[in-house]
Amino acid sequence: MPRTIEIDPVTRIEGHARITIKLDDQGIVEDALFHVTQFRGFEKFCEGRPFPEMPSLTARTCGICPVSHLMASSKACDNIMAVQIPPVAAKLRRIMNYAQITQSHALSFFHLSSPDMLLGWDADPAKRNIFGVIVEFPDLARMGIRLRQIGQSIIALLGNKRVHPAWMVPGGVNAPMTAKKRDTILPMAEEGLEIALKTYQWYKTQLGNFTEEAEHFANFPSLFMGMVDEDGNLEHYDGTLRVVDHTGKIMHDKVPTDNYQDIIGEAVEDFTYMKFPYYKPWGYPNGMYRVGPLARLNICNKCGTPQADIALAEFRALQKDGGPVLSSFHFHYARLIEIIFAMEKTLVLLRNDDILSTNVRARARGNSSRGIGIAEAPRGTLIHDYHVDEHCQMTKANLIIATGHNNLAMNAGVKQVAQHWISGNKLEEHMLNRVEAVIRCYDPCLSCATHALGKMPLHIQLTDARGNVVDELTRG
Amino acid sequence: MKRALIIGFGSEIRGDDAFGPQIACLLEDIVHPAVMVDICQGLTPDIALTISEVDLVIFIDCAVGNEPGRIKHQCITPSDDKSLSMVHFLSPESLLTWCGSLYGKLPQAHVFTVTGQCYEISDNLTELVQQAMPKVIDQVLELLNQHDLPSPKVTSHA
Repeated sequence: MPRTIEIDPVTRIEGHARITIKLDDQGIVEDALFHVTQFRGFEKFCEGRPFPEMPSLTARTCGICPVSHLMASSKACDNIMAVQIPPVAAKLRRIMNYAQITQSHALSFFHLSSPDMLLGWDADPAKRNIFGVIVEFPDLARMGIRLRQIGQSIIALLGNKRVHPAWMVPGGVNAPMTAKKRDTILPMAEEGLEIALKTYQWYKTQLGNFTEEAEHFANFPSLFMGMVDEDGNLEHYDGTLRVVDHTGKIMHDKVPTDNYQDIIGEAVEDFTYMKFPYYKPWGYPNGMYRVGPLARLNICNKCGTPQADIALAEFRALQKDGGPVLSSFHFHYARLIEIIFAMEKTLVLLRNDDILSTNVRARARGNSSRGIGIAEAPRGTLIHDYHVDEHCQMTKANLIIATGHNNLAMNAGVKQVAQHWISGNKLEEHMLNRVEAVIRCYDPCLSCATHALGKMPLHIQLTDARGNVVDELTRG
Repeated sequence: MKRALIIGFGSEIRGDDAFGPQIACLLEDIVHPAVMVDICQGLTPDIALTISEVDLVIFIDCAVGNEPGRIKHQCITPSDDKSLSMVHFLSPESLLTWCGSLYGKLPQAHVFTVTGQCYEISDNLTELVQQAMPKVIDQVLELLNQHDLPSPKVTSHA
């Protein structure tokens, strides 16, 4: 008799979601779906507001990654103003984004995902949490906390607050870097790099413990998309879009961010509030692509900083055929490389005296009826697309969020993991934990993707076709 | 080294949830120089490290309840709140656990809360919560005074 398993809600992610797994008569997984069950509607209530309000307003989409929204939104507003912002303003925005990447990746790696990797997917769920990590691996927990604190402190120093800093504004930033702040941030970035390198070296020694997970955690062919710089290197702030396939072949390159709709379409399904972006030339749902740290490292020619490039070469050796790294399990690996890169780049920018320039903002009114701002958020490509009327008031906003880009791939990943680990009538906690863990690889931010905060107890039911409960598990 | 830390937390655009951040802003200007003030939307893991560096930590928050404007002050101790498995945001008790386990230090910890009335999108506090503000400021200053951290500027807000 066909049955359905529900995992509701999914834990250790930002936001509220559930997973359903459909079993056939033989207890074999037929299908699996990732449902995002919250709705917010930021795009709608942006309408009618003056465009300069957009950075502050849209940053409220999320309390975890507001800097990313500030940045993409500010860039969209720069384009409505039709100004080129002062070069130092762009560098300062980059530094804040690197700090955001560092704190966000540190949270994902050390606090959300490390309990599974350090304590084991099969460990007692009562101990398989961050408190378990603190007890068993206090040094690693301390490094995670310090790394996150470094990222948050840099954001706070630049923006005068840790969450929702109103420092990035249309036209640049609202205050220059001072020598005192630079001298405070420099040793923090040096320490951050040291911690990141130490963690990376440790993680490489652990990879052998995760062979089965790496083999079955969303390990499939897909496209990868992200931003690269003019030399095709890793880029998070300003560049063009590149799409590569699973063999590494470049499908689209140097796509101006203003033309993103040439390659990205958006579909909706009735089982989730999260949209399904897809690669337009391949249609829906064949145009599945991934974004974020894994994708960025798969599409770029190189990172462009010494330590990150050494790590990138080692990362690419994970895929034996020499192509892009296909397993979403290696998002974790990619995050560590990106933290190294972020700290190296921060140091380069800070050590150049022009960073203290006081020319940090261009001023203008609205000169264009549309502005598109694209940046690489920690979780992937973030698109803000605004339309304004003659009074500079918003008539339309379209936000495509990193987690949304990965929606098709997350659903495919859940199905692959379920097919490998789940069968029969008996539910075991470790099976379901792995189903959740594949979602955590993407570090989804559902508050952003649905443009809420979630409570995270877990209740799973295995029901037959008539809705009778065959098996049940409760956690939290 | 700062000897005390005040953390006002909550969303600044969710009505009475802004009580913590708003009161922290006011306290920042009047507390003893050895008192550090932090404002945040939620309590995140990195705050454990900051807490480990002080002798006294005071959390100020808004609470859900049936008696809007009610002030509650309690001393807290470490507690593993495992239901907060998300770890994007932690409880004050969990933060103390992190602090004690990882850094071997446990500052004296207090929580002041005021029961809120409205949490809809707004940057205004409701009247009853506003009325509680000077009383909480006085209680916090009195607590600091007891720890030999008197305010150099203010003697009473009530």
